[in-house]
Amino acid sequence: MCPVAETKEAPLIELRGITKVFPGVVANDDISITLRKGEIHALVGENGAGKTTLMKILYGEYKPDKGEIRVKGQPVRITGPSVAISHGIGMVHQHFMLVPGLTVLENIILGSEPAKGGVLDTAEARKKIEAIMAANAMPVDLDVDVEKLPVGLQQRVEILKLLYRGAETLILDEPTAVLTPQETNELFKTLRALKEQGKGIIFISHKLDEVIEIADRITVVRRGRIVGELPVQEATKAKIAEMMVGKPVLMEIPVPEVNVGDEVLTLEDVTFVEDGVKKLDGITLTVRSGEIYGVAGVEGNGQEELLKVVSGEYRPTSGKVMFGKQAVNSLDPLRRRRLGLGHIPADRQKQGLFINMPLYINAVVGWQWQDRFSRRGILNYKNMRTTAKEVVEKYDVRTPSVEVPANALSGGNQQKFIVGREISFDPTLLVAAYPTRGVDIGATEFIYRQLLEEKSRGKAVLLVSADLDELLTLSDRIGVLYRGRIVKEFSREEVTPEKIGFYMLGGREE
Amino acid sequence: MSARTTAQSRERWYRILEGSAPVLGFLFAMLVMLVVVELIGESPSRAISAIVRFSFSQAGIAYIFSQAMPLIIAGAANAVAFQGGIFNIGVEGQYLFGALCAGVAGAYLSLPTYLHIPVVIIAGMLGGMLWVLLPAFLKVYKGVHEVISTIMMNQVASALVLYLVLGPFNGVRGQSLNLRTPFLKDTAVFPSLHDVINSITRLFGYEFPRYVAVDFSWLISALVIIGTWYLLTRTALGLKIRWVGQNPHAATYAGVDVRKTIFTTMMISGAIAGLVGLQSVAYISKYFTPNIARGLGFTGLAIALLARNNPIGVVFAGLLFSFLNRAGYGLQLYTRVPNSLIGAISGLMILSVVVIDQLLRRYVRNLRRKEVGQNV
Repeated sequence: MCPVAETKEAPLIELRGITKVFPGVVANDDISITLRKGEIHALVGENGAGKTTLMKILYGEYKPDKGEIRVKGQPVRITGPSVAISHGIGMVHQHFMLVPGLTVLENIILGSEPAKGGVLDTAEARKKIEAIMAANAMPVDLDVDVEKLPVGLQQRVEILKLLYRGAETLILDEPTAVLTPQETNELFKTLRALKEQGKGIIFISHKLDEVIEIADRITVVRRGRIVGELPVQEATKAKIAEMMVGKPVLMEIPVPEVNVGDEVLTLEDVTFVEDGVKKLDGITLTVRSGEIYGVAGVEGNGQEELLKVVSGEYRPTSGKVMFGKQAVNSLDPLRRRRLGLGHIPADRQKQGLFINMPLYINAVVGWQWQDRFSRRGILNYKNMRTTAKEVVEKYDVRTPSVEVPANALSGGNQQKFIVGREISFDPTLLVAAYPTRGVDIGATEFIYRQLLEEKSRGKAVLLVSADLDELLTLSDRIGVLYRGRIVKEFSREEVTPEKIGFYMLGGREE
Repeated sequence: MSARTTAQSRERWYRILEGSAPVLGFLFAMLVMLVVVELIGESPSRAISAIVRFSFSQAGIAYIFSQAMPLIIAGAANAVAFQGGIFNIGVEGQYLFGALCAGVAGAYLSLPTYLHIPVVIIAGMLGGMLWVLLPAFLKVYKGVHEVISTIMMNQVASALVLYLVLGPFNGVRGQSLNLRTPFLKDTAVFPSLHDVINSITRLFGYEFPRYVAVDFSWLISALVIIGTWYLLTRTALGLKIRWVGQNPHAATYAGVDVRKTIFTTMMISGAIAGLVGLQSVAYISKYFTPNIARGLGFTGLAIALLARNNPIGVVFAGLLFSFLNRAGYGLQLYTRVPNSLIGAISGLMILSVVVIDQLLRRYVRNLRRKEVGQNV
């Protein structure tokens, strides 16, 4: 461990020897970190490594069993988020805490409304917020419904909320997980501006490229302990990844050479109109066996509709969807599953799992019709449990048993479970939507390997992702989706991130 | 192996903890009741002794069980609907219309007993299904919320049965003020089960008196409970119903036809609801009257809620509500406490069960996550 350099000024935040034990697990084991003024300190580690627990201790949501928290050199006891904010500590959660239906301004002042003689004084607040926005180059229209804002701006509102309350330390929990590359760049601009002003930022992330780009110092946590702290100058992706996982991680996953076979999925001139809007506009694409076809694009350009047209939840308004040589336009999701469709859904909690039901039931979601799970309408729980245990074992899902409900698992483990479930049923066509969103690097590598393995086994994979690196790593061909059209298709050899970015933002060929 | 069994036993403990809300809610409500009794100026011990004396006498116990039967069926009808994410406020209208159909089938058809009784039962179920058919179609094809449509159907049912009993199915023709259909044929009347039931309860030193209804509807209730339990926990259809109830998006993803499942759920719920009035029609009064006990559908909602939509729980919740009814009369009779206090206490009980349930669930969820050792 590197010794922390002594500076004249006391650091903004100092955590000393923090230990937190949950039944059966040491979530934090003697963790000490510091955050100085004007510093971005990245905290990286796999899911379950203890990052979030540590931050919840700092934010007052948990009480540490041992250890001390100092703010500007003074020992403090943080008993709750309101105490944290009074010490200038604010946190942006992964899931935003905004009230839909209220304007941006109302959301920002909610909970600390300025009042004059009992009457809400928004003019004052507006002035203050506008000053903050100007100082940090983070403009937002204050009078629109916060629900109408894109995710990147919603996140900006969250940050404004904290700054408005006078936060000097910002904790960002995987802030880029939900952002497009462009939005991520905007966020980084904001963070740099905040740093200039002497704020301290704790940045939690799995995305090592981003960590290296934005952080000043990086602390790696594994299994509740700090395995190392290094200045960004000394950091490389491979080095951090190895520290995180505890063994070398192959960042460059070898992509197997596979002979491409017959067309498995074909879309011919598929158009989908909803409420008079062309969500998909004449899409033509094919995915062949032994091939991964990537779909790139800024979210909201038709990805959701494309996925649903392929899965059978939506029927195309015109055009043709074919599995192999069979037209499947009129087939519902169940019939398409019977033809060998596997589907890693875009939203694991909303679509992929029944989060209050035990894992053994979740293990057969989408495959419940198979004879071994229900014969003559009677369920076979024994086979469900067996299947669930196989998925848990083979795909390294961390869970005490298959009896627990899905919501007892962390996001990364839920995702591994879904990926495992879909692959273990041996589909011919695998639709993978954002397969590694919010998943740590170890699990990401694992999921990549699984997808490539499917390709090697001659399966066809349709990969929709917001992560360009992911698309570039895995795809044999990439189509760029813009306003419901595939505006450009690249082969693996000719593609670069810049080229994709150009078309993603609506660029056209000269 | 041992690690797994401890995980399983811990899981069992969590389930018990999660399931204990109804008991705690009941105890809390009883405590509040005693405080209120004290405030009224009556002695709590007198109130308790009044309840015990009136409820746990030979007749008391018999009435509690007998009158629980329609409540249990109504609870099951609501529980099935709730499991499928449907708020069937229309159990009320469905049993009213179902009871009429049963009464008419029993009075006008001439069949041998072994056919007539099943026909009466089926008529009740069909009546209930018919009464939920329109809301089900509206829900599935037009997205009309079932709460609105079933409430309206309740009103229609009240008016329609009145019209039908005044008109085509009038059994009194102005000779009596007691508006009713003709008497059921003897072949349609439910047999008494006193002998069967008493041969069992006698082992515990108890007998149901003859003047309390111990009839075929007891068997129907038992079958309804076993049937819904089996449907919901053991069959593929039941799993689909629960999936659609918990998360329609995920159900669609899994390839479940959500609309068809919703339709089926409503039909099953309506069919069960159609059985609620049978005890009254086919055993106690032997005719249908629009003055048949009302409100059982709404009590059924409360029962399902209290039982957390578990069919087995419905049995206990139904017995509890039947007991509360009885306790209310006991208080009224022997103390200065008004019967209506029991209504308020029932409401409080449901409220506290819901709150305690949520608290326990959150607590258990946190325990589970800590156990997994993950970002809580």
